[in-house]
Amino acid sequence: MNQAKALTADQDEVVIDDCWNRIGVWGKQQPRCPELEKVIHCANCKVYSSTGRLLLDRKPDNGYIESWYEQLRLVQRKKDHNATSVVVFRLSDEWLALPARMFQEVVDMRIVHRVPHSKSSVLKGLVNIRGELQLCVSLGRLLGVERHGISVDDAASGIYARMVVITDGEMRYVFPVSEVRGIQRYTPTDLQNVPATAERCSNNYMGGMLNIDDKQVGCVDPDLFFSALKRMLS
Amino acid sequence: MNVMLLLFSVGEDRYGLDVAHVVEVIPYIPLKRLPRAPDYVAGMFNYRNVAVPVIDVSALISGTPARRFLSTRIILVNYPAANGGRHVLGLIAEHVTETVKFDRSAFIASRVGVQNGEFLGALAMDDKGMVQCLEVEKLLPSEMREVLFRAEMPSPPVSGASA
Repeated sequence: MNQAKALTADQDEVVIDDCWNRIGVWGKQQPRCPELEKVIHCANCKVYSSTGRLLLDRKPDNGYIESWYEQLRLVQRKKDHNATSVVVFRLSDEWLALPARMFQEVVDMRIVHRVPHSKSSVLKGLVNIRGELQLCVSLGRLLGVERHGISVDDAASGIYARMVVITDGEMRYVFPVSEVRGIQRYTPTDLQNVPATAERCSNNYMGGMLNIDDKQVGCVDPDLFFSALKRMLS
Repeated sequence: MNVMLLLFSVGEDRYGLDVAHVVEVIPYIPLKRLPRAPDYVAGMFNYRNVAVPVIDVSALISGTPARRFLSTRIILVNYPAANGGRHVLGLIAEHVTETVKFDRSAFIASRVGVQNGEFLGALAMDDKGMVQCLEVEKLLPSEMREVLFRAEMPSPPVSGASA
């Protein structure tokens, strides 16, 4: 039988009776531990938890202490209650953002089933999301973003094209994007005006611009966006 | 009525601190020592741009400083200031790994008074034995309180609070 060992703070090895590996849930020896009747799983047992605490009787390593030292030195940023979150994503070369509350999920790319005789330029077709067919739209067409199509995964650089599911509370829409960067918090003061010469967006649905890591991100106004989407789909 | 205690140990004995006093529990980070201070004053450190004094509770209770384990923590507590405000005070304690709920009726007053041990409060029992409560307000002798918190007073001290 292997004996479990642990090091204490003085680097002494102590022998631990790892009963959970013998007569507990991770062992096969008979007879079974009588405590299991009461606690069902070793994780609920005091022997297991108090032995686990021995792990904390070790010397901390320097990196751990130093990182905490640095962290505690810093003044915590005050929470701004006006702050809202957006999900930042990329459509070919354009970085865009929509309010995070509208996002339902981000899924892998999947097949879009074309709808025959559809005249809408925005409607790409239908996609299967968890067994339900949802409308798949082209955000690039709607916003007038110049696009070279969603490129194939650039897996080497960790960039994956995704399908994004959003909702306005009533309807769900799916659209493909080149990349989803993540959630970003901002306060209204971070929002900059859209340049008057916003040439690439022929239809202006932008609520403002955000500068995130030296990228100009266009924040799409959700009300304008959804009303335009509905108009172009009907 | 339940009280939740943050447990720690000094030697073999268990002690507890009402969690209502606790601001944050942090690792035992390096401290700047205070020269000519009593042994139980472990030093100071920069806590979000405030110099926070730290007391070694092991040294205060038993005379032996706390050992540097992962489970040895600095418990940051709210400590009443002379002018009615609140200071942050750090307490170094060993084996800060659990909190336990006690019913208020489970406490028995400690009849044994120890000299210079006014901060040792009521006792509570559980299946592992006795836990003694630490009374944060009485932790520091008044002259020590003045010494430790004089440095961080942002405004001129209120009358009566000058050291």
